[in-house]
Amino acid sequence: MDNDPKCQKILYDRYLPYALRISYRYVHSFENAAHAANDAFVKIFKNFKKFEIRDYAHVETMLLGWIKRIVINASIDFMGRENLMSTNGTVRTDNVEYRNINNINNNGENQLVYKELIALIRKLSPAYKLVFNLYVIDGYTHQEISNMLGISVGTSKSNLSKARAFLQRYLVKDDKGNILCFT
Amino acid sequence: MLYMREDDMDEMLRKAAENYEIDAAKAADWNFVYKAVHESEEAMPGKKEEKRRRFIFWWLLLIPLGWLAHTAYNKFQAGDPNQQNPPSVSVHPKANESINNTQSSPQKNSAHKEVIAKTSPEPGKNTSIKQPVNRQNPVLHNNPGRSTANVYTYDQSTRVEPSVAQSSTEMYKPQERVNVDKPAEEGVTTNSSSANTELKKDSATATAISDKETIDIADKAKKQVITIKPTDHYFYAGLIAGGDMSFVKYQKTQPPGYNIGLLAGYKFKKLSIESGLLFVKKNYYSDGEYFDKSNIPYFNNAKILTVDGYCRMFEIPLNIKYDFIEKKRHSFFATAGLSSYLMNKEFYNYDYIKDGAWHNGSRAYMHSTQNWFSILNLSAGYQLRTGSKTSIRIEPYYKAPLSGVGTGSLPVSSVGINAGVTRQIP
Repeated sequence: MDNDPKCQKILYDRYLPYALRISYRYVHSFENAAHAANDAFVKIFKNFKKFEIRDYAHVETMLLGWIKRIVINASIDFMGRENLMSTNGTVRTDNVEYRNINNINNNGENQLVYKELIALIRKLSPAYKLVFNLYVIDGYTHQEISNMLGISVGTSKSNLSKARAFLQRYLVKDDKGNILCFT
Repeated sequence: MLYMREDDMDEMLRKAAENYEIDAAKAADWNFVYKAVHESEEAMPGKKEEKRRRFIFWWLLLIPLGWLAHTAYNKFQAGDPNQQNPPSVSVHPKANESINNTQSSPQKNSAHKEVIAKTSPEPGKNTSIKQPVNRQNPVLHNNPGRSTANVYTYDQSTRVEPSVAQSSTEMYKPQERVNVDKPAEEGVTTNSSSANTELKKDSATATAISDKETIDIADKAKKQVITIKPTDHYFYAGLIAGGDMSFVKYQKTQPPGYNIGLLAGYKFKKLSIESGLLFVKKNYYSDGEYFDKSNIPYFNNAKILTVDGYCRMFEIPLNIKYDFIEKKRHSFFATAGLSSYLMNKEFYNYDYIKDGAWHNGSRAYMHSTQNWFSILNLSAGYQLRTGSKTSIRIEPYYKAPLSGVGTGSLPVSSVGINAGVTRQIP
C-alpha cells in the first residue's frame, strides 16, 4: 500500500465520498471542497507510514478517524489559503420561511432532509461554520479548536454559541412539535 | 413556535452530516492526486538531506562539550601552578642583570621576563595537594664551559614561602631539579632554551649559589611546615540539564524530553547528599490498559485504546551520591535516591471506543497530581574538576516508578543523560 498506485487508487475510490462529505461541510463551494478532499488524499498517501494500527480489531474505524483528521486539516488549510477564516463571523438576517422536516425518518425523503440540514450549516459564516463543525459534528474540544485555528477558547465558545443561535432561528419546532427547517 | 433544544439540534445535524449523499464522482481527480504523490517522491532526496542536516545540527551541540573537555584536558596536561610541580626555569636576578648588560636586545630581555613570569607563583591560590607551591625550583645551568656541570641558581627576589608541607629533601630531589635542556612543559620550552643560551653566553657573570647555600634555603623551608587540611566536606550548587526518554512498561518511546534545573548538595568525604529543582518535560506513550481512567469520569463507559502525550512538571530529587573513584581532578560516582513529581501540565491524546464508535480526542490537565517520592533514581557518572572549586559532570540515569504518576497513574520509567556544572560554596 505504501507506494503502490493500484492500492492507492482503491483506497481513494473507496474513501473519497467520506472525505468529500467532511470537506463539503467546511469549504464554501463544491469545487473547493473537492480540492480540499484531493489535497487531503495527497497528504494521506505521502504520510501513510505515519498511520499506526494500534488496535487490529478496529483498523477501519481508526483509518476513518485518521482520514477525517487529515481532511479537516486540509479543509482548514484551504480556507486559510482562501482567506475565508476570520476569527469572528457575522449573523445572517434573512427573512425566515420554514418547511416541515418532521418526516426525517421517512427513508425516501431522508436524503433530501439531510442535504437541507447540511445546506443550513453551510449558510453559517466561515468562522461560525468552522467552530460548529469542529465542536458539534466532529467532536473537538474548545481547547483543541483554539489550538487548531489559533483563536482563544473564549472566541471558540462565543462563535459556537452564535452559530447555534443562528441555526435555532432556522430550525424550530411548531406548537405541535413538528420540526420546521428554513429552506 | 419553539426553538429546538441544543442537544436535539446537534444530534439531528450530526446524523445529517454522517449520512448526506454527495456526488463524489464529480470531485474525483485521481490524476492530480497521483501526480502530486509520485512526482513529489522525486524530490525526496532533498527532504532526506534536510533531515540529515537537522541531525547534524544536533551533533553541533557536542562542540561546546568538546571545547570544555579540551580546555579541561589542556589544563590538566599543562598543570595548574597550584597543583603541579612549579615551572622549571628560573633565572637569578644577577644573571638576568648581566644578560641585560651584555645583550641589550629587547626581545631577549622580554623572553627572560616571560620566563620569570611563568615561574612566578600565582598569589592567593589555594591548594590541597602536598607539593612545593610558590616555591621556585632551583635552576640547573648546563654549562659545558664550566668545570661544574650543574649549578643551581635561586631567585630570592621572587621567592615565596611554601604553603604546603613538604620536607626539604623532597623539594630538592634530583628528579625535581629542572634541567633546562629537558623542559617539563611546552609553553616554557622556548623561553627556557633562550634563557639557557643567554646564560651560556655570559656564564661568567651569572651568580651561582653553592650547594651549601642551597642546603641553607632547604633548611629554612623545612622549618616552615604548614599542615594541609583537605576540604572534604563542603556545600556545592550548580546547574544541570539533559535529555530524557520516557516509557511506560517498556513500551515504545516517544521523542525525547528534557530536564533543566538547579542542583545543590553537601559533600562529606566520599558521600554527598543532593537535591534540587528540575523543570522536566516527558513524552510518553501507553496502551490504554495501563492508564487509570478512574480519575476521568468521561471515560467511565469508554475503553481507552492508546494514550500518548506529554507532561511538564517540577521534579525534586533527593539523592545520595558516592564517589567510588576519587582522584585529584576527576571522580566516578554513583547516586541513588527518590524523586517527587509535581505535575504542572499533562496533555494526552486518546484513542478510545465509546458507545461502540472509535474516537480520537485530546485533553489537557493542569496541576493534576503531586507524587511525592514516587520515583527511584539510579545513576552513575563522571565528574571532572575544572577549577579549584568548579566541576563538570556527566551523568546517565535511570528512573524507575515506585507508583503511578499523573492523571492516569502511569508507571513512567525514564532513561537519559544529564550534564551539569557545580561549584563549591563558598
